[in-house]
Amino acid sequence: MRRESAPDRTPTPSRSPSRSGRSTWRRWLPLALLVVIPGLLVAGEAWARVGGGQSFSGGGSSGGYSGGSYSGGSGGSGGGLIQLLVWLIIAHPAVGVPLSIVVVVVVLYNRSQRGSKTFHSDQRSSRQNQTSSRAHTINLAPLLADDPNFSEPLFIDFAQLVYARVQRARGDGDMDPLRPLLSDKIRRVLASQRAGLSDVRDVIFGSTSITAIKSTPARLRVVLTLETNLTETRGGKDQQLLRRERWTFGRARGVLSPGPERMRSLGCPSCGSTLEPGSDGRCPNCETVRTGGASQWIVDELTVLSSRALGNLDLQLGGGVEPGTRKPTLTDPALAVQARALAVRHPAFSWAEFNQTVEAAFKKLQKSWSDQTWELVRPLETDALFQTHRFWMERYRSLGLVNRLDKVQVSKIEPARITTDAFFESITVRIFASMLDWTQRTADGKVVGGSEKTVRVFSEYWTFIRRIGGKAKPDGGGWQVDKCPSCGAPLDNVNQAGICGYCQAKITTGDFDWVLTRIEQDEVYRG
Amino acid sequence: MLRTDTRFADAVETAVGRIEDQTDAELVIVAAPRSGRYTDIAAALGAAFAWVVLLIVLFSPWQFSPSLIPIELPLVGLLAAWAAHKRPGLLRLLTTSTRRERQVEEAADATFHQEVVHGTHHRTGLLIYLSSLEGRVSLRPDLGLDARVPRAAWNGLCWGDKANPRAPTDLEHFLAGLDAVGTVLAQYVPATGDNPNEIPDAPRIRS
Repeated sequence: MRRESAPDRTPTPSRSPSRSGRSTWRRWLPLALLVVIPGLLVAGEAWARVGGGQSFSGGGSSGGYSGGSYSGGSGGSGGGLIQLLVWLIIAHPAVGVPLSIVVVVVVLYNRSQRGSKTFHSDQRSSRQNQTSSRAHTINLAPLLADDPNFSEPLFIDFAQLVYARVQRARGDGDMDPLRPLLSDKIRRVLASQRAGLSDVRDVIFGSTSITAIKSTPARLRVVLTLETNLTETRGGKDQQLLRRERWTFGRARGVLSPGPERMRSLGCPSCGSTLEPGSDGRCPNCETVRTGGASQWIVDELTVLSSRALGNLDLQLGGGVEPGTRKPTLTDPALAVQARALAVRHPAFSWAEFNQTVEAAFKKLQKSWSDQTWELVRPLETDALFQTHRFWMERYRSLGLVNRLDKVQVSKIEPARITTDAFFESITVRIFASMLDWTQRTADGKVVGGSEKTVRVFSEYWTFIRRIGGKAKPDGGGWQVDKCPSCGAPLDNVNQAGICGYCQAKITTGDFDWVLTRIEQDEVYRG
Repeated sequence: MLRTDTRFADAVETAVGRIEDQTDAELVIVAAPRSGRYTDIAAALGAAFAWVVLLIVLFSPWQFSPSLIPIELPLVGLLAAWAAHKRPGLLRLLTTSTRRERQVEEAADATFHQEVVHGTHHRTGLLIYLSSLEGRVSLRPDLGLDARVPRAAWNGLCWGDKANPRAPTDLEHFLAGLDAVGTVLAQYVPATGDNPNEIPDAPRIRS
């Protein structure tokens, strides 16, 4: 090495351009390697995080996560790097030794930042699958300036109802009743794409989130991304599909969103009538124009991002501390002010009592999930979140798997955000917890994911909502998770629609008391 | 534009008394001629006028005495600014609706505290702030009402005609809006018997 490199270290003016170029290249090679190789490592990690498990449908055709498949690729590039380092240490020790030190330091630092010996950054637990994940927070301010009645949870409920109805109509081919919900163009396209389709059923929502606000001077537009599971029958053959779709809802400016009852009935936003509009698009009851987005949101655009057969889950073994657990809580800067306002609004509200109930709800949800007795916690969740959990429970069941949770402990609950919109008030808390979390095959009990011995430590942001002006006690106290908030009966007779069998009240809308509307992982929560 | 005269004061006082019989809430009505001084707009108009006069002086065929120009230009500017300041219609023309909206919201926030709307026993005060220049009504419910009345109930109120529901053009429209407030309050915060009149019913009319 010395013999080869020595002449290059004493350049002479007579050196040819080509040699000069080569010597420059050689001179800069170690420096380039020093910069590029750790850079490649870091880039690989970053890519794995973005793809790794922020979306339940992020995997390839096998239905696994892209993060999961990437972890194998990461190992491969690591092997190549080790070979390169060994060669450099032997052939060029002046470069190889310091470079190896740098690489080792970078790897150790990254591992310490991840905070776990057993976790890959792209690894996602079965429990995490239950959570809704928002990639980023959408600023709703422009929307609220035009429509102060806009409520995100209510809009998501509305969008899911529209989605389910549209899918049903795709199956039976009767698109006419959808005139108040779909633009004419979308209806024509959907009708023309029904080749062989005779039924669409079992629509379950994996996630639904607002991903953009794209308004024009004449029209408000809200873009939603929906991830769903549904069954299509084509040519007499059933196929279960995992779909990812982008729906753009549009509506004229200057219109106020109607209240929860009218949003959820999909009827006339003005009078609530569910009669079909006449040929002129007007409600036969109150003459309000119901088509074209004049008075209510309609689907302006619809893009199927992916639609594929359900595949296997990519489960990983192991426990440990999840990434993000050690990050500080993202607290809303206005939290203190909002907490004071909450205390004045509801004089009987007590954080200690609220946190106790949150903990009880958390444990009850985990137990019901593990025992597959989801109906017992139905009243604790909004319809949209229940759909997400049902999606996952069905998915595990269809694969002959069951996700078990045990030794659930809550170590801390911290308030993060308090907000109010036109219809609901909400409280977001961060829950620090640990549990044994493993997935086993139903047939033989073999553990195929997680660990039944090593505890997982994690934190999540849970958002609860309650309707303002609903039937909840205005003083704000007395929330219980084991009784119907409407009639006080036990929660053993609540159907999937969230209706208590004793009092026939729908108790999952936040009308009676706090219900869980969103669970976000600490690494994706943006406040 | 809605005139806030004696007839307005009497009619509003009667309406507030009638509404408060049906609810535990306390209404505070404040009518202000404007929600901001808009001196920046007036000054800009004055400067624009002065500049136009300067152009005329420089490029017109007429002769002007150079000794008078230093006096004339500021005088024209001041006169134009003063005229703009005194003409609400002109200021409305020169301002954007966003600016007017912001002025009203800020003034309503300040008025809520100046009028001690939060001073009721159960925090059930409701400020109805009317600003004439901007042609806007803004509501500020106290926290006790916030807990019981969804904001959507206030957002849907109509104070004017269908084309401009937030701009009361005459007393009848304003009183209809007040009646709608009464309906909302009677629904969400009905009178319970323990309903003392904690704040006078007469509107506060600012000059």
